Amino acid sequence: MTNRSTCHPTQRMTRRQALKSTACGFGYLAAASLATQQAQSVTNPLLPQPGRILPRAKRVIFLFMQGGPSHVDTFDYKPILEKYDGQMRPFDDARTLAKTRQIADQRIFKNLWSFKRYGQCGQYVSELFPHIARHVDDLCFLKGMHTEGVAHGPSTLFMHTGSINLVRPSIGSWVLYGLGSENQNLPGFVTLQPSMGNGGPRNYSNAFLPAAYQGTAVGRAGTSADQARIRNLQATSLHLPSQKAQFDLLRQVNMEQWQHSQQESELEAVINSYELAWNMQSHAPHIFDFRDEPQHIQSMYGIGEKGTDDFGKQCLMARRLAEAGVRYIQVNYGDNSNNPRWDQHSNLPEHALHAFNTDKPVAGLLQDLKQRGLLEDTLVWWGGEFGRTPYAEKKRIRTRSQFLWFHPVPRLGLG
Amino acid sequence: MEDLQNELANLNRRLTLLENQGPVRQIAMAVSERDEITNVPIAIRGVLTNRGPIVPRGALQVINSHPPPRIHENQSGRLELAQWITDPRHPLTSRVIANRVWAWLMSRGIVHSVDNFGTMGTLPTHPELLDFLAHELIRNHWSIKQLVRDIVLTRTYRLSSAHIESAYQADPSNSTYWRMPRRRLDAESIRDSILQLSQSLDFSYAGNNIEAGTNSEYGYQFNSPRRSVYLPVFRNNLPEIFETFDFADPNRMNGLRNSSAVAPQSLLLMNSPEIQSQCLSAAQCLLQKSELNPDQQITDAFLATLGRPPLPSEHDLIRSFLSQYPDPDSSQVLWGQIFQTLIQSIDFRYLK
Repeated sequence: MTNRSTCHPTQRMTRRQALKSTACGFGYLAAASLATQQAQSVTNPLLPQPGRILPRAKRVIFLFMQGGPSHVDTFDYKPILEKYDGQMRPFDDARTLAKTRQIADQRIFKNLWSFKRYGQCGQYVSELFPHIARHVDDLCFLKGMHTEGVAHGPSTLFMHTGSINLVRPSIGSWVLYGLGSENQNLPGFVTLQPSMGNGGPRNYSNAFLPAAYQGTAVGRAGTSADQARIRNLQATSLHLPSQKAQFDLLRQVNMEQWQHSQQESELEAVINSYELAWNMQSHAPHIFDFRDEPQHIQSMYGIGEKGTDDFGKQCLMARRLAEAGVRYIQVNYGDNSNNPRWDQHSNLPEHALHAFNTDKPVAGLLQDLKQRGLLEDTLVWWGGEFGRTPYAEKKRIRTRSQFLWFHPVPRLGLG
Repeated sequence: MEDLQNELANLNRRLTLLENQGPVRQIAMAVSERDEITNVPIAIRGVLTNRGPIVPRGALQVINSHPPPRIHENQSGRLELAQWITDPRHPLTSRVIANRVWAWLMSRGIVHSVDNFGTMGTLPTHPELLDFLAHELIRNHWSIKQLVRDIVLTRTYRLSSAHIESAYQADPSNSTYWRMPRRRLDAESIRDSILQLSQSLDFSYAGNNIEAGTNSEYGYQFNSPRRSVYLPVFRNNLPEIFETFDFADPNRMNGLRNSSAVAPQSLLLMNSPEIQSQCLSAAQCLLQKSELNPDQQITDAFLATLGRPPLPSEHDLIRSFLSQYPDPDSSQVLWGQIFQTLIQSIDFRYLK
């Protein structure tokens, strides 16, 4: 009981008494940052939340390979496909089942790429990912994934929200809701260059959770990583002679109005949101400015090289956000079309292009996190919305019902 | 025979011509009955592939105030269900909508959990009032307009939101409505008010509200200066200001919107180029009123933005802000900043 009463309410009372005793609110200005901190304890939903269990992972980086990379051509080696290549076999293809309720014969299609074993664990990796292959001993491969969606839209929603047709919060929103954020000057859930298709914002939406847990989109698919910035973060030309003077005016006007209101906590939350915005504006742009990153680090991510430059920048941004204390970071390799990047129905060899574009950046991210000790408590998750069937539809290859992902912290007891 | 065929061809040509010249028919999406009418299995937890037992068409059995719909074997039952729902004896329909209208006007419902009536929701704070409003709604032929009129003409709706210490001590949560709850400006009102400040709000009524040539919601640009009620609502693409200020998610049923105070809202009001350009236009409008002296300018700006004259202290703050930059060339920018400051202030974002 004593503890409870000395916690939040007393802080709030003290501050209110202090404010009431100062005539024109300059006491507030002087103590603005202190006040913000204290008020956060009352009103800020993003403060770090003590967990019921102490998890080893502190943050998540999800590398979303939109379109469904073929697991059988990347990390899930199926040598038997070589043997039966071209033969017809019955498969319970979910799409065919949904349409015809029949199990049909399908033509088996062998791997287009050769596999080798890597690391002490001996994990097979196809020649598509020579860089990631060097990190297999740090990775855990989950090969039993299942989805209920039979097309990109529902599967993408299923993976992000757990539902193909109901509106549910994104996994990132849940993580932020459960754990809060470690950096109050940055959004706690950031999605880099998300796709506008296949559910678009619903994939980073808070749904029925409070709006504070919504994912913050930085840039969007189809534009370059150089343009990926948090919206409205840059002060623009109206701020003459200085935005600081204008912000001070706002603080004073709000303080006057607050004094004349009933000094309700709801209004305080609004005043605090300006303080947070001001802090974000001062601190966040630095995250997106790579000029202080040494050349050898940038090269590790493939920045400055043809093909890997753009995704490399996204991965480096992810590391910088992770370092700054952002709880959940999603890096999207996608586009806005109905058949997104990794969706090679008609032209499987194009997998090579996307593998090339992402392999070095992902390996660079893993290595960089490792050398900074961040891999110890960062869950890096790589995957698409589904995998691919081991059979071909004419020249096409597709599937549902399986997808592969991997993440590099097997020691966290995922088993 | 040949004559007939020629005549037919002529008539068809005329028909095509007339069709092309005729007025464009309005088209709307609607549902139609399928050829084969059948009962379907329940989709457990809403998952289509998760099939439970076949459930005959019908209505909630716990509601026994009036007979359940009788559905003919060869009909879907949509009509009968609609009639059952809108039957004046239905205990929920009129109360749910009356409660929502009350909540939209008064910031909270008589039943606080507006989307959840019954054992899983909260009890009504004023059950007789809810019954009265629901009854009036039915009596007035389900007229929402009349219901709104009934509520806004009450003494309660017209109460000030001012603080009264004795009342506050007796009822701090205002559950007896001793004052009007403070109301937050919603996304549409913020947008419309800002457009109105710069005198660029388009008040025109009716007509098409989607830009010609639109074939996808993705990438749609919401450039129209029309009132917010005329902006199209797409499932996955909302105007930025709507998305930021808690507009209802178009994918969800939602009786009462979120009411959040988060940094992206502040950033939008601080840095959005559109907001800044509207504020500059508002400044231009003000400076064009050459008959105003500096003090009157301040009063005018407050009246336009907050609907009230400035407090003496606010007046002094604006004066001293202006006096720091006496250069007349900077006056439009300065006034733009003042308008921007006022739309960020809590008195703009909340109605007293």
